[in-house]
Amino acid sequence: MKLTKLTASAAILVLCAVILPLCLPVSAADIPEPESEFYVADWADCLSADTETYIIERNDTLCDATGAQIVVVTTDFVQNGDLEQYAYNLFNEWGIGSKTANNGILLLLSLGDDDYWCMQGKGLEKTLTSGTIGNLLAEYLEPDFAKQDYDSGVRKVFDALWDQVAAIYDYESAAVTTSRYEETYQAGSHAPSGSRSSSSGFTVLLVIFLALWLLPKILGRRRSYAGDNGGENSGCGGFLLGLFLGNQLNNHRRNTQWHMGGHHPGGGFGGGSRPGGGFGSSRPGGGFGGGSYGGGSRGPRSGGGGSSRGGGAGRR
Amino acid sequence: MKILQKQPVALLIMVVVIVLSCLLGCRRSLLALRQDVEDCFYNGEEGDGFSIQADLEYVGGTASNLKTVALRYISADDPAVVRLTEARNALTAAKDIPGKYAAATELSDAVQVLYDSLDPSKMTSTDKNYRASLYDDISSAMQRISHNEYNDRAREFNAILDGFPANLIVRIVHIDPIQLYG
Repeated sequence: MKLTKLTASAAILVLCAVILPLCLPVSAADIPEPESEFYVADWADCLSADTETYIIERNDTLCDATGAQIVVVTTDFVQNGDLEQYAYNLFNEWGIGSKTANNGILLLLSLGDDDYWCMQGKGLEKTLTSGTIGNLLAEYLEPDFAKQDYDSGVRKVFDALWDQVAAIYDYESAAVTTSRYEETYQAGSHAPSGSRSSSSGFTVLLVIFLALWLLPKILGRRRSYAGDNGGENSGCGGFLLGLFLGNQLNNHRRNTQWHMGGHHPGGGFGGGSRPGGGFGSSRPGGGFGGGSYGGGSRGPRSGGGGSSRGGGAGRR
Repeated sequence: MKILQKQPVALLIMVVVIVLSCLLGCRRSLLALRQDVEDCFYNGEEGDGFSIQADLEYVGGTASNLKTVALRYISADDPAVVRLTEARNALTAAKDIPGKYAAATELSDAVQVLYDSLDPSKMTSTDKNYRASLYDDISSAMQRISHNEYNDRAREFNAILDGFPANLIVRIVHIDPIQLYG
């Protein structure tokens, strides 16, 4: 009888292992996950560490005050050489800018295509027109880009874009006093799991509940021999579950990354490497979504959920 | 009136009422669905005004500005200017969605021709910037139109009309498929 129960439980777990990857929607084939710092993805390796740090720090202040984000991405090639389409997909996949204000900007450089594109969010279409963006690119990026001094060009045009956005929000006059970082991060947070559809989220939850129900039963058999150590068994079950789910999701992430430089760390979610992690742990914020980060520590950066309708401007 | 008390007659009346109710209800639902899709074209995917119609109006206005700049360097009789003027008028006059698409395509081509015909080396720096930025604005608006979900929604609606049982109902209550933009 016990062996039959164990076999049934094992069978269900195996079934979950097969079904779970199928339930997770596959992201756009050529849109990799953003880097951990989010604001810079130097896949073409043409930016200096100083410039990357500069972009991140400037974005932090801008995002705190306005929710706006200016993301810089460099790559070697884009699929079919269609930078506008690629920028559109990437912008909306990453959710650049605030979800409510849609005030993100994406600057995309494709060195192999010898081209670049800059796209603004829906909320900036009227205040930062594509024509203005084109002029900024022509003035600040093109001269250095033509000389292949990408680092200088990016820095200059980034500053120009930053100044434009700051002027739109009158940021320099410090009229905005409320920190919007929490709003950007929490309300529209696109932690890497943010693109999952609600139906697949429900499936994942269902699998989690099943596993939480089964694993203690399997591992809790030892309680009858070793006294009351259910808590330890729950934690152990949680660790195993987190390990399993993290491995599944990590495999999914690797499978969606291909020709963009190929140096994205696996990352993964949940209790892959944390002792007692996963969903059986009592630590808050474990597993998906990054949990809550209180004031004082910035935590991982991510998109605010902003969107773009496309367009923008490129190399003239 | 005794005939109404007969069971077969009562049954028949009930069936007729049910069928009519179904037809009316389906027609209302399909018309509401159709209206939602059309609203997407005129008012945006989320009803926020970011729509194909708004973008077309923007393209028309921006093309006019480009013509204003061009007239400082070429005459109003220039074929490129005439073509742009006619295309813009056609876009303004277009009533249905396929007509708007045709007019917008022609206007886009006319803008390209006018843009190419202006020699930036003979323009002031301000006008050179205008020429380039207005062209970027128009191109950008056309790209946004190409990403709009209207056509996807229209195809979904038309697929509903083609599927069972809507395809039977449509023949009785006469609901036309939605025109695509393009």
